[in-house]
Amino acid sequence: MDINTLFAYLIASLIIFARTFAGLLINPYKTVRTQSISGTVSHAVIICLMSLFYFSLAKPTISEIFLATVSAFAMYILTIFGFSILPGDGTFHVRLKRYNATWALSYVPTIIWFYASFYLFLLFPPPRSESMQGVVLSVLFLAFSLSLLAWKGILAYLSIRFSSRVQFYRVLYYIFLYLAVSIPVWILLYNLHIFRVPFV
Amino acid sequence: MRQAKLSAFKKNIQELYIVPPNDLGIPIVTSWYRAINKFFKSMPFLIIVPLTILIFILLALVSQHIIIRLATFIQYGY
Repeated sequence: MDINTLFAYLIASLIIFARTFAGLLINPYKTVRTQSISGTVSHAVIICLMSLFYFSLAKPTISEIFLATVSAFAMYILTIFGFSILPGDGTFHVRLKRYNATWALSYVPTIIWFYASFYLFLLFPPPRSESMQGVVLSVLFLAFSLSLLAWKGILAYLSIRFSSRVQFYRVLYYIFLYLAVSIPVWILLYNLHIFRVPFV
Repeated sequence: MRQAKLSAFKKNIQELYIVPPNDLGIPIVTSWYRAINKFFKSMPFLIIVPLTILIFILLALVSQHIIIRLATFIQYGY
């Protein structure tokens, strides 16, 4: 692959990613369903690169950037493998391909939150005061954070629903299993000072 | 042209039915689920953003201290 082809591929991937991002905002149900059928890999690659760029901004040393990046990628890979092992429609490889396309999209709110919090930390460093401005900023920040968490919850639910193609109760069961395994890992990463808020 | 439109329509219909509709077992619960679910299928932020702002305004009216502590804790967490 020469440099022109690579550049063209990169631009095309970015345009498709922008369209998918708009779709996730406006019509998440249809967008995740379409992505589960297409099984595209480029979104996962773009999100990995955005995560790497974020870590290079937020972490002070090369070793910390490396550790955070490897931990986030390992968690992503283990999550999609874990979900693909669980019973669902299609073979393991088919489910893995679908999860790779859809689970990566559930990281979009996470990445937005991390970038926004990073710049907010620089512009309005904590602690907040109990003045009117402090309370208003805190309410807006918490509402923004909870909105993104809710959006992430919707995308995670849709990812499981369309990748494993299972019914509502089974999706809840899969989410319960995911949290049962992930919460101890998040606490471990928190105690090791790798992530102060889990990279869920 | 007509054939292309027909095949696109067939593709869309197939895409719609890749998963069977959710059935929660009890008809009234299923109908509630569908009534709530439709708000989250498209434009979920129209519901989510006002709801979250309302939640935290109410919490601020109850205790501003909790809001400040929570925002500070989460902001340190990035």
